[in-house]
Parts: sequence; C-alpha cells; structure tokens
Amino acid sequence: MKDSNNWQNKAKDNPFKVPHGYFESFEGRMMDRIAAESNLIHKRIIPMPVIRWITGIAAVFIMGFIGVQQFYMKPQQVLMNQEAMYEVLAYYAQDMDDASFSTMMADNKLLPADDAQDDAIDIVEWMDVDEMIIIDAMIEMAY
Amino acid sequence: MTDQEIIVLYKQKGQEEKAFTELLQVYQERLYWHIRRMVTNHDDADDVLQNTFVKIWKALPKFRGDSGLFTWIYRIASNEALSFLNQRKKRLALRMDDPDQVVVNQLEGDEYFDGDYVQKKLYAVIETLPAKQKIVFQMKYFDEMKYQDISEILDTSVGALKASYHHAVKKIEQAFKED
Repeated sequence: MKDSNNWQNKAKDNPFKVPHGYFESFEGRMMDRIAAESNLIHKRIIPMPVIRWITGIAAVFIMGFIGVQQFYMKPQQVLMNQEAMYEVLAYYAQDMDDASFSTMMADNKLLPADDAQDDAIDIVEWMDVDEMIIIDAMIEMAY
Repeated sequence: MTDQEIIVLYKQKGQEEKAFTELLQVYQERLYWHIRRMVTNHDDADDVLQNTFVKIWKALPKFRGDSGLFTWIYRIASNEALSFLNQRKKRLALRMDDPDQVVVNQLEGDEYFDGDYVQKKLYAVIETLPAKQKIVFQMKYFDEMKYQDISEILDTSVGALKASYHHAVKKIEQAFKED
C-alpha cells in the first residue's frame, strides 16, 4: 500500500523508551508481587471452604429461627392481625360478589384455603347488613 | 526455553515458580511492547503487564493446551489492554475530557516517547481508532503477525480482521493526506 506521506516506512521504528534497567528488574518485581498475592491467599485466617460451611449453617439457623418464631406466635397476636386484615379486606369487599372475594382471599393466601370461603362470606354479609342499615338510616333522614 | 519445555517444567511438582520465571523471561519484553503500543504510556503499560502476568500465574493450573501457550498468553494480554483502554475512556469521559486528546497530550510530554513528527502524528491518529481496530492494526502492522494467528488470539474471523485493518489504514492515510 503506497502513501504520499510515506508514513509506512518511517513509522515502524519504535519511538517508545523504557526507564533504565526496567526489563532487568521486572522479573524480580513480578515475582515479589506473585509471592505477595500468594501470601494473601495463604494468610486468610479462615480457609474459603470453612467460610462456605459457616455461611451455609448460619443460613439454616436463621431460616429455622424464623420458622419457629412463626410457629409459636401467640394466638392473641394472630387474632389481632386477622382483625386488622378484616378491616382492610372489608373495604375492598364492598364492590365484590362472594365468589370473587373468596377467590381473592384464597389466591393471596390471606387465610388457610379451607377457611377462606366461609370467612369471606361472613365479611361480605356483615358489609351488606351494615350497608342496608346505613341506607335505611339515610332514607329515614331524608323523609 | 520453548513453550513446550515451559509447560513440561510447570507440570513437575515444585517447579511451578521456576517455569513461571522462564515464561517471564521469554515473554516479558514481547508483551510489554504489545501492551505499550496499545496504552502508549509507560506506567500504564507496566500496570497492565503486571496484571497480565498475575492472571497468567493464576490461570496456569487450568491451562489445558487447547491453544498454544503463545496464543493463550497474548489473548490474556490483549484482553487486559482492551479492558484498560475501555476503563480509561470511561474515566476520561466522566471528567468531560476528550479521551483521545488527553492521550495525545500525554504523548507530547512523555519523557519515554522519542518519536519524530510522523510518528507523533501516527500515534495520535491511532489513538482515535476504536480499540479493536487499534489492536488489529498494531498486531498486523507493528508486530507483523499473520491474520490466522491474530484470529486465534482475538477470537475474530480473518475476514473481520482484514476489514478492521483496512479501515484503520484508510483512516491513517486520510489523516496524513489532510495534514
């Protein structure tokens, strides 16, 4: 390939230099670094396989602890949680029929599947009654 | 010592460091110049070269010999240099600097660069090439390597390498014509 500036002939000479003695000392510096990196690995206080075992055992203990805590939760706490949940669910139940509400409860595992339908129907019925009372009261007030 | 002799020595129990020292002696200078032309600055080249050899040392136990030792070592060095160039570009871009111009300015003031006008101009243009084109141009033009060897090292088809080299040469020629 020809070029009017003839750059190809001139440019192949190496214009770069290195500090004096660079290549002579490189091997020593490199071996020092390799030794330092190897020492870092050897000096690890706890060997890597042991760390993996400890992490695994810790994970099992944490999961076990959470499971036990859930299992032994006081019945009163469960009841209070359920009551709070019912209040929220009751709000959403206003515009839903029994079957839809029951399905939502079961799908979201808000209650054990076996109890979901009965509890849901109870809530919806309670809402209906209240609504009727309110509507009746409003009609009476209007007249 | 040949590549094969280095591998045989490395596989002997207790001879790993000796084999690695031999490998250093064979390759340190060749790899240095390979990397230096890519990164241009001596300190950067020294860092990249050291990182390359640390990676080689760590990876040697897994070297299966599917490719030649030369190819394998050059691949590690090339990847390390390309990775450095990408990081440098991002770093300079974050500082809102023009990465190519910064490197050209560094070259101007580099006490370890002794090029004439044509060489300064050439390296300034090379600096503007995409990293992959840059490495292909360097391996073909300066190191005078065969496309087949470059293909194995960079894991790129010979056709793609020829295209990269062609584009690089065209850009350099154009830059010199405009000069």
